[in-house]
Formats: sequence, C-alpha cells, structure tokens
Amino acid sequence: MRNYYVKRIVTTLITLLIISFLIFSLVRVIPGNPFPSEKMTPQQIENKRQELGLNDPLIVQYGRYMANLVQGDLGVGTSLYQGAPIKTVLKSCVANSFKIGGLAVLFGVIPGIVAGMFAALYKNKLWDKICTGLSIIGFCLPSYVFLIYIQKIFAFNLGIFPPFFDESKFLSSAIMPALCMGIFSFATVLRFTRNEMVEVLSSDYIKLVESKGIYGPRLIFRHALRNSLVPLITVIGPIIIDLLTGAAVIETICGINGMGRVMVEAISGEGVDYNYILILSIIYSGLYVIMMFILDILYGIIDPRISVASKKPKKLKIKEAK
Amino acid sequence: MKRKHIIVTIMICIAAFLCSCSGAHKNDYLVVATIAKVVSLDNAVVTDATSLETIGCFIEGLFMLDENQEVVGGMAESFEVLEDGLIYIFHLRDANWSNGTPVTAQDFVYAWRRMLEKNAPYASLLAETAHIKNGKQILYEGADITTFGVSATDPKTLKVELESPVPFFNTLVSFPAFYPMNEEFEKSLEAGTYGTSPETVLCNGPFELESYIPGTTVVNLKKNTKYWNCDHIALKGIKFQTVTSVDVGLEAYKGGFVDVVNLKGAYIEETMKNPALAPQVQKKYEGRLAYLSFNVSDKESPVANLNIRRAISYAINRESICDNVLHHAAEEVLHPVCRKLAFDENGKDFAEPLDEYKDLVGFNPKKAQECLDAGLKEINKDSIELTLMCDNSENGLNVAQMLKGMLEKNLPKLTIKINALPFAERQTLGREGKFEIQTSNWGPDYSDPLTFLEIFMSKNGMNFGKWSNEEYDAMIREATGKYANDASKRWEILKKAERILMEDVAMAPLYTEDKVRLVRESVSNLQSAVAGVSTYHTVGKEAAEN
Repeated sequence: MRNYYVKRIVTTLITLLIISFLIFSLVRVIPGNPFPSEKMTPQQIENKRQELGLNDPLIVQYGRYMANLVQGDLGVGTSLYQGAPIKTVLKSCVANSFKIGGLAVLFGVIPGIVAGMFAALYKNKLWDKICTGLSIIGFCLPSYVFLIYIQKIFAFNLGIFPPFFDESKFLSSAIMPALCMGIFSFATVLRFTRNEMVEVLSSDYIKLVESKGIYGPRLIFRHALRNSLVPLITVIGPIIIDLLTGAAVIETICGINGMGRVMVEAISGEGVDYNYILILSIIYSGLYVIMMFILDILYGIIDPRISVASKKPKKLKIKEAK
Repeated sequence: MKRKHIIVTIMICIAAFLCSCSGAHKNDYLVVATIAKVVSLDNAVVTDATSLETIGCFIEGLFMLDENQEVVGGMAESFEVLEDGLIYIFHLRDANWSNGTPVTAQDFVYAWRRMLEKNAPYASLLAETAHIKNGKQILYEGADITTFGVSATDPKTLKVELESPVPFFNTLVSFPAFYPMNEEFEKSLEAGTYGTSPETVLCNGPFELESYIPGTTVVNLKKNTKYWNCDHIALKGIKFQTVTSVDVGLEAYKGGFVDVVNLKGAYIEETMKNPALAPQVQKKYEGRLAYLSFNVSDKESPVANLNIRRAISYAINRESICDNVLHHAAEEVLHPVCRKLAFDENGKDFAEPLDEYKDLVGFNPKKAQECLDAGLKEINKDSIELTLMCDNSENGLNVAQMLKGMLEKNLPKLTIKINALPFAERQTLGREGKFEIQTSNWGPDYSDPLTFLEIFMSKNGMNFGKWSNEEYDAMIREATGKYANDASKRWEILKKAERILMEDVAMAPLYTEDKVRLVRESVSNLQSAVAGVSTYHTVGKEAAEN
C-alpha cells in the first residue's frame, strides 16, 4: 500500500515537471509582448528583459524558475497586475474560484445525484420526463447564455442579486455565477445517475435484496445508489476540477477575480504574461493529477473489489479432509 | 403545526436573504463603470488611464490640472523659478499622509528616484521630457541615483535642477509619474507589495483607498478626512466598477447600479435616441489622436515615397469615418497636435486654424490620384499593395475597413490588405518596424505641443516608422534648448516643425475621439482631461436617488 502511494507521488511529480517544462517552452512561442506599454522606450524594454533574465537561454530560465518555485517564489507579473508578486494576486484568485466552484458543486453535483436517483425510481413517469427535459436544457444551453438571462432579470431588472461580483457580499453575489456554472454538471450527473440507477435497480442482486424484505431508503442508499456511484465518480472528478478552477467566460461576465479570468487575461490581455500562464497551468495540472489520485482511492472505498492499491490475495485455508 | 413553523421560518429567512442581496447602491458614493480594470495602484508600473485616474484620487502631486489645462495648487503652496528656468524650488504646504505623518520634500525625492530605479514606463518622462539633471545617464547608462537633480533642502522645500529649461514643467509635474511616496512606509512593506491593498498604500489625496485587491473589478475609495482641502471635497466616496462591455455598463446604469458609464460605438446613437437617457449624455473633447504611421525605414517600401504618402492622406475622408464608424463622437484632425492642449500668450490654440494643413493632408480625391500616379512613376510600378496593421478591437477593425474602402475607391491602383492584431502583438511588430502602415493612437501626457511632436524626432524610441528629418530635429532641439525661455520664438519654431511634419506627411492625422458618457443628473462637475488624467476633486453628487 505504502509503495503504491510513493510510486503515485513520484509519478505525479514527474508528470508535473514535464508539463511545466512543456508549458514553459510553449509560452515563449506565443506571439505578443510581456511589456505592452506604449509609453516604454525600446531601451527601457530591453532593460526590463535583462532585469528579468528573459534574454537568457531557455533552459537557464527554466532552471531559475523552478528553483524559485521550490522556494515559494512565483515571480512577478509583467503585463498583468504589473510588478505585484503573483503570490499576492493568486491568493484571492484561487480562493474566489474555489469558493464559487464549491458552491457550483453544491448546486450542480448534489442536486444532480438526487434528481437522477428520483428519475430512475420514477422511470418513465412525469418526474423522469421533467428531469430528462432539464438535463437536455443543461446540456444544450451554454452556461454563459443562462447567466446573461438571469443577470438581466434578477440583477438588472428586479435588483434581487448584485449584477457584479463583490467580495464583501460574497454569498449574494456568488449565487448567480455558481448556479450557472453548476448547470452543465447538474445535467451530466443527473443523466449518469439516472442511467446507472436504472441499470442497478433492474439487476439480479437488487431483486435478491428485495426478496430478503429490504425496501425503501435502505435498499436505495445502501445497495442501489452506492453501486451506481462507481462509474459516476469517473465523471465527477474532472467536473469538480473544472468547477473549482473557474469558468473564464462566467468569471469575466460577472467580474469575478478568479483563476479562469486571470488565465484568459494572461494569454490574450494587452500583453502576454509568462509567469501567470505558467503557474496557473501548473495549478490546473496539479489539481487534475491529485484528483485522479483521490478518485483511485475512492473507488476502493466505494467498491473494495476494485481497490487500486490491491493487497496481496489472502490465502484461503482449505479444510483438510479428515 | 411544527412543520408549518419550520416552513414559515425558512421562507422568512429566504426573503430576508433576498432583500439583503439587493445590489442597487443606496449610498452617496459616485459609482463609475469602467471597461478597463485597474492594472495596479503603483504609479511606477502603470500607464493606463483607469489605473492612473484611480491613483490620482488618493495621491496628490505638486500641482493638478483643471479642465482648462490650468495648473492649480496641490502639495505645492508656492514655487520659484531660478536661473532662467534651470532650477525650480517648490514650497510644500502642511499636509499629512493618511497615517498622520507629514508629506515632505523627501517623499518627492524618493518617489522620483524610485521611478528611475524601477525603470518605470514613465521614467523617460522624468529623464527625457522633464530634463531633470542626470536623468538620462541614470536611466540608460546606470549612473549613480544620488546624482539625480532632485533634492530636499528642508522638509518643506523641494529643489529640482534641470539640464535645460522646460517651460511646461509645472503642468508636467501634475502627472501621476511625479507623485510623492513615503520612503519609510514603502520600505516597511514586503518587496513588490506596495499598492496591493488599502493597508499597503498611504494616501495624501482627497480620497482614501477603502478596498482593493489586485485583479478585482471593484475599487472603493472614501473621502480622506486628513486631506488638506477636505472641506471642499463634495463626494463621500468613489467606487470604480469594471464592467465587461458597454452594454453591460448601460444595463447597470439603467438598473441604477452605476452613476457614470462610458459609451462607445453604436451605443452612442442608441442612447441618444432614448428620450429618457439622451439628456444625461455628456460629450467631452479628449486629446487622444489617431493617426496613420508610415514605416519609411525600408527605402524600397512604397510608403517611403512622399507622393504615395500624400496620395494616401488625400484619399481619406476623415469626416466620413467620424460620422459613420465613430457615430459622431469624434472629430476630424488635420494637425499632428490635438486641440485644447496648448495656447499662446494671446490664447490662440496651437492647433488653429483647424484647416491649416488641409492643402497638405486634407481629403482631396483628385489630388490623391495625381499624387499616386506621380509616386508610381517614381518607383516604376503600375500598382501597389500595402498592408495596414491595426488593433483587432471593434473600433480598430471598423476604422481599418473604412480606410481600406476609401483608399481602394479613391486610388484604384492601390490595394490594401488589413492585418488586425491584438494590441500587444501590434505594439511588438510596431516597435520592431515590421509594418508598412499602421493605425496608431497617442494620448498627450502634458499640456505642450511637444508631447506629440517629440515622438517624431529621429532618435525617439516611439518613432516606429523611423521618419527622419535633420531640420525637424534641430527645430525641436531649439524649442527645448535655445528658445525654451522665449515663449513666442518657441511657439514659432514648433509651428515650423509641425509644418515640416505635415509637408513630408511623416504621419497622416485621422481623428480624436470624444469621451461620451452617460452621467446621472445628480452628478455634477465631472471632468475630462485633454492631457494627463481626470481628477475627482470638484465632482459632486446629490443625496442618494435610487
């Protein structure tokens, strides 16, 4: 078991190292200027490049970057939030994305599982049809379109919610973006849960459980839902990461200072900001790799038969014939 | 019964929550919607108008400029000009930073030196434009910072030594690049964290930073009760709210969430047609000049030919661009210097008469054709294809397409290819001289024609087209040296230099865009600066109306 974890951690670190080098090399190829100010003279730009070591060979720059990163120095922004340490800027960005993403998980994944479960229990009945309709809307309607509508109605016209994100009024201003971010995941989780539950409910072992006189919540939660969750977990992992790392369009529309928006601005803002692109990509990759690791462990908890860190098979004692 | 109570309690909670959610502002803060967000609150790193305007709300320099470009008192109570304009002595008033420490001359010395040490984008303004002693040597040759010509003779007296007289020095020092900074405070912070939160700035301006995080879309400023002229500040506070687009800003205005919103493009006409909103539209002149820049560094390029440059300028109907693409919110320009920027002793605008260079660069399809024929003959070609580089913004693209249409219609032997690029990429290619023609913009930083004219000097880093004329260079040098103290002679020589620029069509001026804003009736005295940044000292707002 311990060997497995050590192996996974080492693989994770190597993966991140490779990703970081690839991104480091690729961002240098992106057209654009890290110092986009029209007021800077060419000589000043050259001085800035020298100061930040941008004229050194790529491998030297990478080595320096990684050495600083290990010491917790993420560098400073060049075109984005110029001069401010990235650590300071990212602190609020990551916190906002995680908080709103967490709310979106709450609005998307949990209701999705519940609705999917009921849709399966009331298969082909009105509730199932409503859920199917809702999931089709969730799949087809881009979340930002939904956001534009609810922003217009509930913020601009009715004034129920603030139209723009405000950290001092976090909950009220985060509801609209979180709801919209959660729509797609709600639809996905609903469909998956429903289909899996329908399959599980018609399986032989459920019939056996029923024949033993087990009905109601005990049957659904302990036997049916638990078994339906195994394939669902594969989908939920990336969904949660997507929600936590922010949706660039939604963050932009609502003016949320989150990771998605910062990433877009770092690439396509007035200038190209190498350091932001790099650190955000490393965070994204890191989160995915860690999430995959957690999911592997979760599989084992939900269904001990598919534990990834498989233990040595127990030796069965065979009674000797007397 | 118990269940009923629970349901009622839950409903009351939801209702209370929804009521508390209501975002419409009910305070006396002025809420300004901006498309561009605040990039930083450190004046040593920013050049964008939104950031500079925000900084100008909480930090005050030696002087300020009013809407008529007149210098009004800031931290400087009085000043003396000695040795024919080579030495300026500023006597500071009794004013305090927001932590109670007094604003001293040393704060200016430290801040100005810091601009050079940090290689700030506006460092060249101190070193080159202001001609402060040893500025260029420090900035470009690494000379010792202590040799910089700015010193504090006592806590309330600032002495500035110049290498050559700068007649507009007082207007120049009103720009945010010349703002003070408390050394002790800045050095007590973790490196690079200055201006990243209300705790990491000291304020001496009319407002105090209330809330800000880098990257945020909301910046709140409250009235600074320690400001020396606090009694004359009418606003209780300002909130800068970044919005994604003009239409979102407009919706927010209609919903009562913002008091001021900038209008652009088709939204100007749409708002003017709305009887309820039309009276609230304010249109103010802004000096940001749009022009065509020609790359003449490659002598084989068709635009290196004077007749071809003339033909292009003659073929442009600027009025049509202003009316059709910019929705009447711009005015055609035939000068390399904008209006309302600089005036002679008699109050005459440098850019007057407006049609002074009409014969040289104004719309004239017949002359355009003649010039193109002459140019083609000179370069031995029957027809030419030129690439026009522009920003890929809505306005940038629309103007470029209109220019292409006009040029190809009025000059059938000319084909224009549009190369629309993101701002940063266009800037990079422009700096590297990889363009034939590009649409450029230049906003004046100070109230003098030199703010425009100096960028066309042969060795100026901003002269991307590499147009060069020795006579022109000599004239600009004379205006900043020999005739710096002789206002009329200086004026005369700058006018001559301007004529050379137009005769040689070093650039083709296009238009200046107006600042069109929707301003709530309760808001008064909202300014718009032609040069430098707008201030909010005089702005007022009546009690809450929403």
